[in-house]
Amino acid sequence: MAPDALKGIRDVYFHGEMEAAPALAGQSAGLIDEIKSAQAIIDETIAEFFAITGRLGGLASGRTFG
Amino acid sequence: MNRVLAHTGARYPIVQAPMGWIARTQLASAVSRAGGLGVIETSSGETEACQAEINKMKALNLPFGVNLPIRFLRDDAMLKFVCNSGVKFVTTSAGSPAKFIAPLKGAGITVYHAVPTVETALKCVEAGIDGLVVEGAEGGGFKNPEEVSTLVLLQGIRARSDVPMIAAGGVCDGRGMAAAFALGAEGIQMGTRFVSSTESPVHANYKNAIVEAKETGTLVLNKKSTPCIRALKSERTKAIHDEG
Repeated sequence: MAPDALKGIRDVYFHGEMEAAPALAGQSAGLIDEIKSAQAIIDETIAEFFAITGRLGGLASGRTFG
Repeated sequence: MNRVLAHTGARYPIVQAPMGWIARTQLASAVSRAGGLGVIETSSGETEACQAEINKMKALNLPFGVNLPIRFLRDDAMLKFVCNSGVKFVTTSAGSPAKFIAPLKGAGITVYHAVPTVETALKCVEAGIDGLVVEGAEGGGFKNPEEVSTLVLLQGIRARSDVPMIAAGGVCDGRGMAAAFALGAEGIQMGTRFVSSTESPVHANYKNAIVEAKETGTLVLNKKSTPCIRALKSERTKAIHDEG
């Protein structure tokens, strides 16, 4: 990779020129299918976290695998 | 008691990653207002602009953190500024935090370091770090060329140390958060998820490219040199990838 490959990163970020530089992102891009507010992201994450840990807690207390 | 909450003062142990140029007050304040922990970046190298952002966040009276990417700091100006700024939580990354821990802790700041391997994690614990951001290879941006998944990394570190861990890489919702907690994490850090949030300052094309990408939609580039990065597939990144 050329040493200046990231030089155009601000053109990607702020001008939407997606070929101006590598657009940094993680594999979780494949799990994200909607633009949401920070509030919605956090509220939904917390609700889902407690739904899952609640279900898992039930497995432990019942000594069962579901 | 959750140690990440105790260290950060946030309502929820959900941290926004410090993306260069992106992780500034507009995004960080939205995350902190929603109960998470906004973090201000300094990896852009724009010292004065970042100092102004830190001052803006302070004025809002919300919990927040600052990231210091050791290798990218030209001098100790940002370290000194942060030590005198009243900031309470710092993540360090990109290089050894050994020389940063004493001045930051001396200023009453809690310090977490971002680690990509178990070996680095244990060195940080020996050096007196308060906690770790455990960054698996799934994550975006600057990476370690030796790829270890978040799943393996969290378990490997927890088997050897009781240090507080914030899981990063591949986590973008409650499923990921629950999985990370099962492996011993007490918090999560999300980058790509917040880059594609309403309050993120980036262009709609970038947010839409994230929304449209599949799980196979990124490439790790520049593994033989530095910086090694994970980025979205594009004509340009495919060409860089093919160069090897």
